[in-house]
Amino acid sequence: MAKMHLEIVTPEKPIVTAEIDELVAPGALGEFGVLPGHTTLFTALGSGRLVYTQGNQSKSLEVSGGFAEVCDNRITVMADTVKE
Amino acid sequence: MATLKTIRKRIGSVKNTQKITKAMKMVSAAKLRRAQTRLINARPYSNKMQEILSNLFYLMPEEEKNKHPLLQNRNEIKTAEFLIITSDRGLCGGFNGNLLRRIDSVLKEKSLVVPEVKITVSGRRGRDYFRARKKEPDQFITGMPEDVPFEKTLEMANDLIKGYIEGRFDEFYLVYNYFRSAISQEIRIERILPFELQPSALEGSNTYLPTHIYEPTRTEVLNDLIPRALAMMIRRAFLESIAGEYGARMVAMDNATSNSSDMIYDLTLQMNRLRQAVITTELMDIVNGAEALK
Repeated sequence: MAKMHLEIVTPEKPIVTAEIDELVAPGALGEFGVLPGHTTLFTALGSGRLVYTQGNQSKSLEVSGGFAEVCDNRITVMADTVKE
Repeated sequence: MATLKTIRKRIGSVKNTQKITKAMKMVSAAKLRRAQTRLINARPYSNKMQEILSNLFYLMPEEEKNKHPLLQNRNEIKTAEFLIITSDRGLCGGFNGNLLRRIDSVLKEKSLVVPEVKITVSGRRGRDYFRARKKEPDQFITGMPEDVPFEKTLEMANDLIKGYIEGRFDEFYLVYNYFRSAISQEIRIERILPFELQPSALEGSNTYLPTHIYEPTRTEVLNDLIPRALAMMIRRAFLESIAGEYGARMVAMDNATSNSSDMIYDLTLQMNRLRQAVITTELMDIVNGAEALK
């Protein structure tokens, strides 16, 4: 299956660059999931857990504030703060 | 005529100066490393921000694109404002001087075209320069913390947007030293308002992409995003300037240290010659005295 390119950055430093299969993130209007082939989306982020899956492994991060963009199987998360 | 004593004294003082410049070089090198890491860590966010904005506007319907006030060039420019970023401290070679001389001529040119030119100066060096030329900055910023907190630049960005919308100025420029490497900086003058978009990476791609879905709404998202993008540009300019300052200081202090080594060498040579001359004259005196007694 096609993968998506994920980048998570904060104003302080880049956090993650990875090829992933699935992403679940806390949007301002509630949680949303992204799978390959998602339409272009731009959303503000709320705070909560962001989970991304690579194969059968999934990792999660605590994010709060910022934005996420999904465009052409590339996801960019620009969070204000990110914690493990 | 220099005496032995004065030469020795000079060597001593040059040595002391050398100690100071050496220490300053070391301190600058350490601070440079820290500033450089900060800058390198901040660049991806700032680049991403630009990229996303270009994508957003690229996929936005034409009529929406032209609606945003911060993207419109004003037909008549009455006031241009410049934010000039210099350092608070000196002893960093041509770092401030080059920038200030350059911007001074740019300002002169600008004032021929634009009725009013305002300047905001960050850094005591810049303020002193304009004061000496009887041109007090309209606003002055000093003591910017080295990690340049995002919240602080966000405040500045919000203030700028307000100023722009209220018509306090019609154009806003950022002037700073871009950090090319530890030993070289490049003067950059960038217009940040009205906002200029870089061409999107999506341009010319064959895949069809629909316009973005916005959550919550387009207006809300843009009202949030644009101040952040501006804040990041300002923050980055400050970080570039701070890293550049340490780089410039390190180089200046390195030059000063090697210059003082050269000076010590020359002075030592001069001192030894003189000492030899003194010994020779003394010997001559003794020999002559002995001759006279015979």
